[in-house]
Amino acid sequence: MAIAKTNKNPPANSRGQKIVYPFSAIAGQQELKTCLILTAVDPSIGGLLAMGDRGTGKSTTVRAFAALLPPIKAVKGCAYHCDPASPQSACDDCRVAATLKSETINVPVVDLPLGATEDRVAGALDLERALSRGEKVFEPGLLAKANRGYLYIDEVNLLEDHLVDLLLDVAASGENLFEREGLSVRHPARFVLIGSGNPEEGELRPQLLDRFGLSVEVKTPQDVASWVDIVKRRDAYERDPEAFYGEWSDEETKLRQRIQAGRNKLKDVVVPDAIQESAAGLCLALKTDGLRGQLTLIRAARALAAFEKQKTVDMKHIKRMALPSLRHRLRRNPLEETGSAVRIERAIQDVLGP
Amino acid sequence: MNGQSIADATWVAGLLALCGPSLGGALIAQDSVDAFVAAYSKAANTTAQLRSVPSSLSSDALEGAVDLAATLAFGKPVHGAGLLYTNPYMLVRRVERLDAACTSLMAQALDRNELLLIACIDLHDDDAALAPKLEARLTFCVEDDAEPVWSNEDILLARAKLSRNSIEPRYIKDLCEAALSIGIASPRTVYQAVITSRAIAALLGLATVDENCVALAGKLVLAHRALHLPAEQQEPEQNEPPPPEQQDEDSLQNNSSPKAADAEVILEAIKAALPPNLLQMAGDGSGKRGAGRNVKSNAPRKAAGQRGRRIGNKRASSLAGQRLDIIATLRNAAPWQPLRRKLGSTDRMVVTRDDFRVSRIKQRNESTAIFAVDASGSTAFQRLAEAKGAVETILADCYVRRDKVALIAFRSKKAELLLPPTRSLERAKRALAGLPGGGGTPLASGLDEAFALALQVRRGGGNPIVIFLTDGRGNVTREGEGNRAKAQEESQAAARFFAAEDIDAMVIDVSPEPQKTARLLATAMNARYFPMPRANATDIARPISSALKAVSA
Repeated sequence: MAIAKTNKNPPANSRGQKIVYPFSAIAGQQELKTCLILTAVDPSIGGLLAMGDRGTGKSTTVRAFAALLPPIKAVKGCAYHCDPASPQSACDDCRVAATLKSETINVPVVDLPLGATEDRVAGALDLERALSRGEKVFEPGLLAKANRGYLYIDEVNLLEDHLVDLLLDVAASGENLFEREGLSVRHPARFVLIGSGNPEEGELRPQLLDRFGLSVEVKTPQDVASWVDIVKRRDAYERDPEAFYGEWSDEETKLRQRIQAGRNKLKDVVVPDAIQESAAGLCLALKTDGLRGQLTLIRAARALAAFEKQKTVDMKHIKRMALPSLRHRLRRNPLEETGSAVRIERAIQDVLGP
Repeated sequence: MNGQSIADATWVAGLLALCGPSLGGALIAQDSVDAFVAAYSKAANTTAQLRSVPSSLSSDALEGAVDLAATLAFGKPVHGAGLLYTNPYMLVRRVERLDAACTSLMAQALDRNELLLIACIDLHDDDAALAPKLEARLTFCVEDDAEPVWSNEDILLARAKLSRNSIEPRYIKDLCEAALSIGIASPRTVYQAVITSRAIAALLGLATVDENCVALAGKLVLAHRALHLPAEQQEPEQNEPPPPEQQDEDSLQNNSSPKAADAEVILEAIKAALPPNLLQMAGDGSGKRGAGRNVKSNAPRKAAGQRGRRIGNKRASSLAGQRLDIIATLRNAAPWQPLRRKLGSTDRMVVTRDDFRVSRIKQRNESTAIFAVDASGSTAFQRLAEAKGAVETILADCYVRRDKVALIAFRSKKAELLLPPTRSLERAKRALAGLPGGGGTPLASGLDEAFALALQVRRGGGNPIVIFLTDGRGNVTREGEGNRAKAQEESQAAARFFAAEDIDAMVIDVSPEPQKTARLLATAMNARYFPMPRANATDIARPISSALKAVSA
């Protein structure tokens, strides 16, 4: 869909992207940053939920992260930017095509606007072809655009329930099944779902919480030094984005390479049986529903080990990933005063030892 | 130019004309809009003139959507460019009426520094509350008339200065300290103050930011977001806000607090701009405009049957009151085009009445449980803790079923809406925990408040259920006088409104022995009556839960 975007030309970097605030320059937010990186190291972790007050820099961090990701190879002209190297996960057209031309693209990051309709998200009948030629053709929506990339929903807690259901179904299956208006289409839609929101404006249904892989609570530090740091960096960035980006470009490149290295290493990381058992013990002690929590915990710990260049997952990795992997999966007595964090810390102490 | 003699509103007009979208915008009192617009227009470039946008605007119009006229004319979909892209200098009157989708789009545009929003609001209307997420992104709040002091030449000169001037790091530190000490939540605000102080210096023709610029920026940007006065940070939270007189003494004492000299100058400037009833506002944890209120409740509602989830479309025999599903209609017309063109010899799209489709809407019947809790002395000593427990238990239930809850407490002189309808359990928990007890029973006020809220919910298409927890013994009149007979008379009258409007209600008698008064109240309201034996919270909650289920089923 051609929509006239802003008329001024934003500053752009050598990769042709609009310069956004560099990810490495974001002060604080360590947990959020680590978790975002892990979703890039192992996309099967399954999305991230970042809840926090207004003005904590959630959106800034997510957008900055998108610009950091290493570019990918995709089939030229394919609406779903399929991976030329893996035809088994490609769309119907790419799978049967004799030859595929490939091009290098930036990792797609799709912003889902709050008012988006189901047509816009899942796709719809292509009006142009239908009107001019009377043909029934599928016009891909945002889900197609997000394939192999990130789908970012700010204020996910305000999104209409049926849309959230749709998104989570697709995110879990990696496929968008479209059965409407006499069209029957299935296409790959593997993306990492990032949701953010402010819990004061409303909460997510517990069923939906569980579908996000990791969850982070974002807070603003409350000391003068951190604030001065944040404001100074922001000021420097706004005054001269290019120079500021230049200052941080080494860091950005280094981090990008580390993520790439972590991805390559991921399949070689060993998870010892003892670690598997401890993770299971922890989930049992916390009475998390189902196996999803345990699976995510193991995956996140493995991604963390890979990112930190280690060959085996150890107890430290499990301990560090327990909070973001399990925090949103505790069966919650809504009025219990003890926060999830405290309960998890306690369980770690009890089950895994100090 | 002498900076001292210029009014705040005038500064804001000049600063926004100078900085544009990078300062986000301003919240403006309804009465001062015209003066502000005049001052701004004189200063701003021709390309940055404000355009008035109705608050009833749709998110399609903001973002751009299918242009129907052009689509039909060309026979292929044509997208219009949204206002956010064609005209990012917006003036919105009655900004509290914007719907949630527009609010979010605007907030995102403000984040990208691609929108200048002048939001007008009626400061005297307590119900008018700006969406918190917009409020946090608007740098200024203007309540006075601006004067057209700056011309466009001044602004152009200042713009040249702005690109070169700088702010010393120590001033940034001062602003951070000042902001933290008055309870400002986000560094974003401080950043806005930094830009503002540089812009002030530029308007004054200074090469570097000086102390006065920083102090003025603090006053313009930080003051209206202050949640508490500087030295109060460590004090324990009080249930009763101290009377306003005390506040002046507090602020006098603050002068001696050990602070960096400059941070103190900023704080002084801020304090001078603080409204006198700040403490009361801070007491309920909300910001200046009653931030945190559910703004949706102010948005105008579409007629029933037009809200909810779209579950498909249907042929429309007549369009009475229903909105045409344009896309579905076009889709339906599409296959017939070659045939119809032959018949009608036109190259345009031919749509006939038979093609019309309207959306089928599945409405979610959303319940809102309004708790009206009698927190008067007579209840407080006996059952308040139990009543709180009961409300908590039901809250847990509502949470699971995604019902909304609201909380009204009445005690001493009047009723108070502690929690507007919300789905946020955290806020409900906090409101309930902070509920104090004691004083007389202004039952009539409690009934009035609950009635008004129930109607508001119903207007919004929701399903209100009012749950009174009281012993029914009102002894304070609407005017706040202690007169038992008159109070009873008033509450009986107020109760009959519930019956007249057929509002679902129940009265939980929380007195130690079932009271005739509570039963009479229930009868007048045409409400269910549950006398509560001395029991634990779950026992109180059980009949309510089952009643709630019955209502929303």
